[in-house]
Amino acid sequence: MSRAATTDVLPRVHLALIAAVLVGAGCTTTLDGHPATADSQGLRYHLPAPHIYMAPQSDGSVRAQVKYLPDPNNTYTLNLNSYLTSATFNVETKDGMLTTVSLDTDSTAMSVAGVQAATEIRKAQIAAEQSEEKARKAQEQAKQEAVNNADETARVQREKLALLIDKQKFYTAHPKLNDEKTRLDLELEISQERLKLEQMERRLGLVRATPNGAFNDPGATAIVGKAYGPVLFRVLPVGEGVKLVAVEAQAVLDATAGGPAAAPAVGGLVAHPDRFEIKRADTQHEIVVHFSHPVTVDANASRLVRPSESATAVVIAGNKLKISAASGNTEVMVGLPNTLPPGNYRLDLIVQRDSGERKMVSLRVSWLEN
Amino acid sequence: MIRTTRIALVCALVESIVGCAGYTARPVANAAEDAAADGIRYYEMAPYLLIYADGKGGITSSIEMMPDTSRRMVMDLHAFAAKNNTTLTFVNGVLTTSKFIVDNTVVPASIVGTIKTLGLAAMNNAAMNDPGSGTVRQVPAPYLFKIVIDKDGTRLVGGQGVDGDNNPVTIQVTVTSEAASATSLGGQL
Repeated sequence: MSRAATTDVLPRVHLALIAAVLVGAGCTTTLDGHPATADSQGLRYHLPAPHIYMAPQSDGSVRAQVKYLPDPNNTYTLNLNSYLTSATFNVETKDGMLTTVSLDTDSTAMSVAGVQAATEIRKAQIAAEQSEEKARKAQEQAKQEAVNNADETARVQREKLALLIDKQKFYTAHPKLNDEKTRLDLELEISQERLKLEQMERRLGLVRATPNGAFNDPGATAIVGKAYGPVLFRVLPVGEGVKLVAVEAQAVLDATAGGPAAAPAVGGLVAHPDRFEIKRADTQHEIVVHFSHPVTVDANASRLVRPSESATAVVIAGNKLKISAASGNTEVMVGLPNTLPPGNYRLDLIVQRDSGERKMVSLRVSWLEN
Repeated sequence: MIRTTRIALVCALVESIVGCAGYTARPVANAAEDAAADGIRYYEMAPYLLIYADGKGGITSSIEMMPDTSRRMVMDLHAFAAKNNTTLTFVNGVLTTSKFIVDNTVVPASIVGTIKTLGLAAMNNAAMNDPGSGTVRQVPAPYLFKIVIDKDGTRLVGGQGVDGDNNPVTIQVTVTSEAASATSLGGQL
């Protein structure tokens, strides 16, 4: 073929190529998905990071659950590009992870309906913004009310405690005007009210710290104790297998239980000890617990427990505590061993009333070195 | 030469007019490939065996289908002068409408018992939970094994949970006084 013939053909070829590109590119839809960067645009989603969630239960058992959390180290963006055509692209996510991706390039071109849809979308956006603003104001108001209420409750409690302490000072200054039981009762009441105040102040701090002043409120009179929290293990691929790695060390968290701390009223049964603290140097290492009704103590089922943040709790069986087990008595004497390590303990007494009811009464006891 | 060029261009023209649509899925081997790849990322699914002490002296085990984070995939959707109506459904980052889905049926029922036996044998080496140890009990960390099924048979690859320094982890469980007393009193309270 001559050079002239070649030059005749090429323009036609170029035209055909350009036509092909225009036809093709004129109705092209592509989906772009890339790792997300700080400034990249598009719909973001995360890949899941599987975890094993081990949750201790109050009955001593453990519940395991597989949890999928969004992995911030694997974040991607999606963008749809359409040229001279229209397409419907719908992406749904849950907790930041993809649930549905649908692409429909069979839609008609932009139309009046499309414009109307865009208008409706804008209206919905405005309504959503107004709703958010309303919710934000309501949240602020709720928080302020919660803070005010908690603050007022704590203030009243402080005044009540101050009055009781003044009363105690008066009793101490005038011992002839009252008996020992009255003084002990007052001491017990002060102890309880002080505990309530501590909890109220803690509650106030939580109310201030939470966005709307709402939290898992244990109530002003609940016992605040300690309990081990859950453990979260991340599932990591290793070779052809898998490895479980704890995300954090297990934490000890505040927990609550119903009932007053020092003088539990269990089924109408009220108990209070003659003292809460024992010093090793004391000549007597016994606690006398006064009951409102005659009881018989089951020494074998009773025990002294030291709630510990370490792995093992100190537990002393009731039969090593020298519990006076006379039946039908309103006073029970509990002797603590001299070898007891210093610390705070809980005395669990299992008692039986004349009616046959068995109850557990828990008392707090502090063993002091000096 | 000219003939070849003309054929190629005609083919390109025909292909452009006819169009094509669909999706392509392929594995992503490493971070470099991931950075360069274009499309929707997801994980393939794999079977795992989860075993843990229940805190009551027993063992609980289950086969869990979870995403295999070592097998990342990328899917590219496209429509070129053609219609493409595609809906992809994902559950926990796993594409469930793909032919790549692995479901429970990949683990033959007959070997499930064998797998659990293997897992329980591993548990025997650990300190078991003692329900009678007081108000704080200790439960061994759970075990997780990936169930690898290949031409050589079925294997469990994994082990017990550890901390960030690779040390064994023990889970502490606080028993409420109510629960403890209910146990000690035979449920009378």
